[in-house]
Parts: sequence; C-alpha cells; structure tokens
Amino acid sequence: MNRLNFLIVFSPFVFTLFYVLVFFLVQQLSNKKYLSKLIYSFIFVLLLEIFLITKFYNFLNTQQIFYILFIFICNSFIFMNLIQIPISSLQVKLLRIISKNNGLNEKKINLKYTPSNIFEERIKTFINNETIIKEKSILKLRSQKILIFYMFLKYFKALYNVRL
Amino acid sequence: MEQIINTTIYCFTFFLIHLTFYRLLSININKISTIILIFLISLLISVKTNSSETVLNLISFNLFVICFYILMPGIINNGPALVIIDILIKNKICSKQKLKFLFNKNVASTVIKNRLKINIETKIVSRKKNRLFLSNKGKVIIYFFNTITKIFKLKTYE
Repeated sequence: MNRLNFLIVFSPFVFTLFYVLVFFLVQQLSNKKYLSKLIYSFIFVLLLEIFLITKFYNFLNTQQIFYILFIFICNSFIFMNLIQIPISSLQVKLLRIISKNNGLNEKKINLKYTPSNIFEERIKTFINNETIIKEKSILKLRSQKILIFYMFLKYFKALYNVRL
Repeated sequence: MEQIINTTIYCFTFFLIHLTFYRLLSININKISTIILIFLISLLISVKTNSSETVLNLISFNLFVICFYILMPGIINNGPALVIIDILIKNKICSKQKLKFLFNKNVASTVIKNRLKINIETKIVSRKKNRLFLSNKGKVIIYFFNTITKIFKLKTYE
C-alpha cells in the first residue's frame, strides 16, 4: 500500500475525529439545542470533505471518493447514536436506576419509572426540539421531516413483520 | 465503479441474510459475535489479497455491519417516541390526555418489561431472587455513557 492509499484509508476517520471535535467545541460555546448542533456540525464537516475531494479530484478515483464519503457517513451515524443513547435510551435509563438502587426489586422498578414518566419525558423532548407544538392542551406534529423518518422505520418494521 | 457495485452487493447480501434468518428461522444474527467474525474474516482476506481496493471494500462492509447492528434494535423494538409519533400521525390533532390514554393503552405494560428482559438476556443486569443487580458489563456501559455525557455536556432525563 503506497502513501496515497494509506492517506485515503485513514482520511474519513480523521474527518470523523474533526466532526467530534467541532461538536465538542460547539457544545462548550453555545447554549442552543444539542440536536441541531449535532446535525449542523455534521453538515459542516461533510461540506468541507466534499470541498477537499473536489480540490484533489485528479488524484482520486470513483471508488476512493465513494469510500471517503461512505465511511464518514457511517462513522457519523455511529457517533450520533453514541450521543443520543445516554439521552433517550430506555435501556440505559433502566441501567442508571439499577445502578443507583443496587438490588432493587423487579416489581419496584415499575413504581420508580412509570409509563407516565416515559410519556412526559418524550413529550417534553418533542416540544423542546419543536417536533410537536402545544396549543393550549392540543398537541400536533409540527415538523414534517419526522414523516420521512417515520415512513422509513414503518417500511422496515413491515419487512421484519414487527407491528407498531 | 465495479468496486462500488461490489460493496453495495455485499451490504445488500448481508441485509438479505439477516432478514431471512429473522423471518424464517426467528434467529437474530445481529450480535457482537457476528461483527467480530466478519471482522476476522475480512482481516484474513485483506492480508491474503494485499489489494488496496479490497481493503477499502472490506472496511466499508464492516462499518455497514456495525451501523446495521446499531439500527436494528430500533426496528425490532417499538420505542415510546415512535409510538407517540404514530398516534399523532393517525389522529392528526390530539389532546395531551387523549394521547396519554392511547400511549398507555399501546405500550405501557410492555415497554419497561421488554427493555428489562433485553438487559437480563444480554447479561448486563443479573437477577437474584427477584432482585436486580448491575453486572460488570453493565457497570462499564454506565461508566462509558456517563463519561460521554460529561465530556459533551449533555442533559439526560434525571
């Protein structure tokens, strides 16, 4: 493997590290919602990556361009999930409860973390990230972008025979 | 271009194998051991072939498998957020009380039970005489996510 190939193999990982660093800095400096910062940091680094690819276009072939973009998108997906899991994962929330109350009775866990808690947490998040708007006591979907995500999941659930 | 098609075929074949195992044999091959096995086979192939094109293909395929591993629990399990969105899409406009009623009717009894079952099955939580304890694996996971939360100043539901 020559030096150029070596650089190509590692470049998307370097871009991902840069994405992590950009998100880290933005998180320290700005008080805006983390989700928009996560998405805008991703778009910023992706555009930078595309700009650099066009700059060095003559040195790269189609497979290498595809590799750089594909690996960066995969790595970013993994990073976005790593950020999202401690915030909204039910499994991790249950682990935190068990960690704080070691030896907790199985039945008592339902009293400590009720479906009502889950509902309130999710509604609060949706209102905060403006997916849902609340007018008096009425809730309705605001963001139509969520429909794309919803259709994607629904299609896959149908493929896997999972009922929503 | 041929190499891009190859990567796409590898990924699509993996997806089809997973779907076939899941639908026909009720076996979920989406496990850490599968990722490790694929990684070891890829490592062997890349050492044997010593071709940069193959290495790029295999790295792409391995990362696809990891992304698929992360994506699948969201497909197989119904998360509460998705249930709320589903109710809102079906009912267009909903009062909070009605939404809460429909949510409780849909998932209330299963949502915590299912997650707890997964935690016990994957040995993250151990159960002794109806009491729940965090295993060493669970402690590492909690430490890892707490570190991420602190580093990136994230706000969790506490």
